[in-house]
Order: sequence, then C-alpha cells, then structure tokens
Amino acid sequence: MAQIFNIVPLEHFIILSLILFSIGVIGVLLRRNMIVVFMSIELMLNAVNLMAVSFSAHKGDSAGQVFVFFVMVVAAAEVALGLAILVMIYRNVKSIDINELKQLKW
Amino acid sequence: MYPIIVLSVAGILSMFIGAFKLKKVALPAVLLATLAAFGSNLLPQNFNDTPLYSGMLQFDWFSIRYAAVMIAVTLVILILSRRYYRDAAEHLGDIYALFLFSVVGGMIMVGSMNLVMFFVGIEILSIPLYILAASERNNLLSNEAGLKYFLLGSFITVFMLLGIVLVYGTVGSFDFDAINSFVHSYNSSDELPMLFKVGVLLILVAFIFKISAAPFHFWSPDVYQGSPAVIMVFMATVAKTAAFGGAYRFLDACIGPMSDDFSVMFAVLAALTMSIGNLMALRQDSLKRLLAFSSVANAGYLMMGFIGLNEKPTDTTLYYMLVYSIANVIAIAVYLTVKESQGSGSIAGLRGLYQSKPLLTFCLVLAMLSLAGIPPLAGFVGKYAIFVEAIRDGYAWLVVIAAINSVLGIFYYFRVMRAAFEPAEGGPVQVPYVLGYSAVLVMCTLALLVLGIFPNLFFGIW
Repeated sequence: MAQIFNIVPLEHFIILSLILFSIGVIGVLLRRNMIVVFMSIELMLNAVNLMAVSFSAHKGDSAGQVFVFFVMVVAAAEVALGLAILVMIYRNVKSIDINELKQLKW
Repeated sequence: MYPIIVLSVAGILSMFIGAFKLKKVALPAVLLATLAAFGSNLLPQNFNDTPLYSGMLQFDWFSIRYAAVMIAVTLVILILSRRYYRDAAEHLGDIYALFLFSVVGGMIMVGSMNLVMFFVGIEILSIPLYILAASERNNLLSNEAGLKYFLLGSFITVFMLLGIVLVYGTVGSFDFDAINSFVHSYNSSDELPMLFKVGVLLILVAFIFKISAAPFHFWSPDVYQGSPAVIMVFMATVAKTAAFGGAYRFLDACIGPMSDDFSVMFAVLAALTMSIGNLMALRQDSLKRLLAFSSVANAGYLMMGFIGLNEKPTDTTLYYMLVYSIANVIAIAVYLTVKESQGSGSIAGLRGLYQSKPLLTFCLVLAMLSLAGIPPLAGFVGKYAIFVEAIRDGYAWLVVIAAINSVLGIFYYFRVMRAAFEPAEGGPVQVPYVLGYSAVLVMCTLALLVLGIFPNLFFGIW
C-alpha cells in the first residue's frame, strides 16, 4: 500500500484535501441556501477523511482508517439532524434561505 | 465509567416511556436514574488511575469530580424542568433521554484519554443539544436558535477534526500518552513540527467556541435567547462544565509540556471575553439574553484558570463552575415562574415579584449577589481564588481588567434585583404552585451561602 507514495507523494494528498476543505469553508460562508451549506460541511468532513486515510497509509497505522468510520457515523447523524431541522423550518417559514431567519440579534 | 453506563441505559429506557405512553412515570424514573448515576460515580470501584478499554477512558479523581458536578447540576435542572414541561403533551421521554445522553457525552469527553474518544464525546454532548435547542417546534425563535447552533457547531467541529487529523499525521497515534511523550521528545516547543502546532491550535479553537469565549462567542447570546429556558440553563452550566473539563484534560494530559506556551493567548482572550460579555450585558432588556452575556463574561473569568496550568490544581475552576451553575439555575427558575405568570421575559417583567413571592425574590437576590461576586456568597470565593492564582502566575494586568469587569457586572446584576423589588402596575402577580419547586430553590440558595462561608467543604472533600 505504501508504495503509492513513491508515485504520488504524501504532500499532494494533503494539499488536495486542504483545497477541498477550503472549498467547503467558502461554501459555508458564502452560500445562503441551507442544503448547499450542509453539502459544504459534508465536503469539509470528507476532506478531513481523505487526509486521515492518507496519513494512515503513510504511517502504516490502521487507527486513522478506523477514525474515518467514526467520522462517517457522526457525519450521518449530523446530516439526519440537520435535514430534520431544515424540514421543521421550511414548514414554518416556507423557505430554506438562511437570511429568512434573523429575529435573534443584539 | 459506571455513571456512563447507568445514564446511557436510563436514556434508552426513557425513550420507551414515550412509546408506551407512560408520561407520569417519566420524570420520577429519570430522576431516580440520575441519582443512581451520582451514587455509582462515588463508588470506590469507579475510581481507576489507569486508562480503561485499551487506553480510551480514564476515571481518575479529575473526571470523577467533573462528573459529580455535571450530574448534580443536571439533577437540579431536571427537577426544575417540571414547571416548563408540565403541559408538554408529547415526547417527554425523548427530551429527558436527550438530557441524559448529553451528560454522558460530557463525561466521556472529560474522561477521554484518546483523541477518537474525545471527538465522540464532544459529539455525543453536542448533538442532543442541537435537538433540544430546536425542541419548540412551532416557535420560530427556537427554530432559529437550533439551526444557528447546529450550523456553527458542526462547522467548528470539522475544524477540530482537521486539527485531530493533523496531530495524528505528525505523531502517528491518537493516544494522549503517545502525544504527550511526542511533545516531551522535543527540547522546546519551537522545534515541534508546524503541522502539529496548527493541529493543536485548531483543536483549541473548537474549545474556545464551545465555552463561548471571544472571538467565537457570537452564537451563544442568540442560541441562549432562542432556545427554551430549561435547555438554555443546561447549555450554560452542564455543557460548559464539560467543555472546560475537556479542555483541561486535553491541555494537561495530551499536550501537557507545551500548554504553557498558550498562557499569553488565553490571558488576552480571557480579558477580551469578559470585557465583551460584561459590556454587552449592560444594555440588555431580555433577562435570558442578559444571562447569556453574563455566561460569556464568566467564561472569561474561568479561562484565567487555563494560565500556568502545569503547577496548579484544577479545583478552583470547578468550584467556580459549580457556584456559577447553581446561581444560574436559580435565576432561570425564577425566570420560568415569572414568564409563566406574566408572559414577559424582560427584566421589567420581574416587577411585583417581591409582593407576591418574597421567598423567590430572596433566592433571586442571593443568586445575583453571588454572580456579582459579593461576599460572603460563594461567587466571591470563586472569583477570589481564581484572581489570586492569576496574580501568583504573574498576570497582574489581567487581574486588574477582571476586577474592573466585576464592578461592571455589579451594575446589571443589581438592575435585575431592583426590578424585582419595584411594585407592579397591576398588583401582585399570581404564580401557580408546582410541587417541590420552592424547596429545591431554597436548597440551592443555601448551598450558595454554605459554599461561600465554608469553601473548605468543597475543597476538603477530595
């Protein structure tokens, strides 16, 4: 498994996951549609997973791959909860635009 | 370890209560389970100085103390939640189950000795809180609070995950002991790999968010105001105790040798946090929002405990957290009563309280005095102990700022007290009677007095 790092160095994996992570951050910060925001958070989570797996393969240590399963389970729980909150808000406001919710401030 | 098992099983059983429509037994059963968890936490068999389950969890004195405080505060909140959930028709068992699961997450987080366990703990703590914050389904404020908490919380959690993975990538292990000896193997922390330092910093950012310290405090007033009052006090007390305990565990057991490098950062953030909290609280009209900013300010005082972590005991912070929690619980209990009779959650809504409920007013006054740090109440002792330790570590400037902030705090705490003594326009307010409510409140208030006059009762036990 580790011989893949002779062809593609570890740095490339790290840079790729950091790029994906940044795309996710920008998505969360700029998009106003709640579903797209959830998708961006998922993208960030998967970028972290990619990084964990590549570190794990590079170190020859399986703990990182097990960690990815934990992250996946938690991500699934979070998305289920997020969609439930979204449906609840859509019933009340008839919109999934984040800017519609601005009653709480100062 | 035992309280984790007891509360998890109780939480699962509590969900069946909803399925079998046994609403009447929900609260007594949950209270009984919480008492059992509190008792099992203090069993000698529960204490173990070596990590259990392949080095995942460690129930030493540190985690037992934090677990004891968290379970005790949860118990009081559950008793007082009766006033709020008296008329709740559905999902009562689920709501109590979520409370219990959240405490379980807090205990896992405080007791963790492995970054994986740590992450799982912080998620078990947070996910029930997201649901609870949004639990008033038809209240738009509660919806908004839930969504904000969920979005920001999961956003920050991903940053913590990135930090964990970067630490794993440099060390090659998630184990706290392995990371600790990795840090030890370098002579000074300047020589540590860059990726490792970035990772640690990202994990600390997640903590600063969880304890609602500046510059990541923006979520907390909104979420606290929007969520139901019982949930708000749970987030401000139990969840915050867990976050502080987890931060201590991480700083001490995981990156112990380099935690002193963050002292200056924590000092600056503490000063910033308490100033922002107190200044913003000065101009609030809603009692809940005032308490939210006061909770931000108190996070600032508590962060002073992170300075010079290696040489001092963690007792003072836990004492402060306990005292702050009790005072906060009393304030919210009085708020619930007033809200029920008057329908207004503003400070002005407290008017006429003294005419109809002198006992409640007495409790509220003592809680506010304790929050403001007036002797002989427990809040004073807590602040005093934290300030003395900060001076001992050479942070006199921070203590000066903290003292100025305490004076600022007195202004708004006294505003709340004054409102309670003013006469109401429409005569005294009538408040429906709820079994055991006043008794618990008076006991909490007495605890504040006793802990303030005899602080060694707390410091001497352990």
